[in-house]
Amino acid sequence: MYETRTIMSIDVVSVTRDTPITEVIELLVTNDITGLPVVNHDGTLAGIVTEKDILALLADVRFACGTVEQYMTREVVAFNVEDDFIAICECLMRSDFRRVPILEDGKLVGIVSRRDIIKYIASPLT
Amino acid sequence: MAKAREVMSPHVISVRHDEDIYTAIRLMATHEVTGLPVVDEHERLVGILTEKDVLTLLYTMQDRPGTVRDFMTSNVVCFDQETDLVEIAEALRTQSFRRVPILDRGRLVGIISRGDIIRHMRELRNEDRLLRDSILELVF
Repeated sequence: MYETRTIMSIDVVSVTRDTPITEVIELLVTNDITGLPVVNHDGTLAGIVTEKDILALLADVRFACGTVEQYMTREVVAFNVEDDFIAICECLMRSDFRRVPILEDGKLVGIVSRRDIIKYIASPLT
Repeated sequence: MAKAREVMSPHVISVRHDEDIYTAIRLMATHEVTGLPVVDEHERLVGILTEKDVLTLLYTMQDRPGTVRDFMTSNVVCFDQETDLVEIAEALRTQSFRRVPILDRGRLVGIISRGDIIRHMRELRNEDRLLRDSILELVF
């Protein structure tokens, strides 16, 4: 009934460790998203960088420099594309984070956010 | 540094505490917001309804599982519109919530999300770049 593969967003914008942090600000705003998975060059997951991670830059954003590596969260809860969708929902209900990267053969293939689930709940009603 | 009122979204979509929960979810989905301030009949802030609060409905098969009041979070951190943005950013950075209602003498007048602050940061950088470019033009 609930299949992770069909509900996840597959158009995932991601960055690498060496992406400038100023580009992250640009990507978050222009794509209207709240976080970006960080991938290694082989497509495996290295971490995640979120709005929360870069809020500390506010005071001196004019001089902000550095790369994703310095700001990203390394300990990321991720799921496999074959994992039960309900388990993902329960994880998002329990936790403070609002999205989980979805992996297949260790590589990033999608993301499931609370927004995806809300849209799914609302969809039969609209 | 900017004050809350300069950065907040003044067009807040709020919901009444006695509204049907599915009406609130539809509001969230159609306006693509992650949380709705909840007000009483006197427009006073009584809570906030977030995506997290309503995820449990995925399991509910009832047609009418309740009203907003049954699902909302009651203890809401909020700020006055004259508060310094740095103070609000600090709260949003260190706490798990991602938006705060903004009040003017107790009345809901706006909302500031982490995203609003990130957008403000981008504007500051762009203004700075424009300024730098115009100085360079003057010099050369």
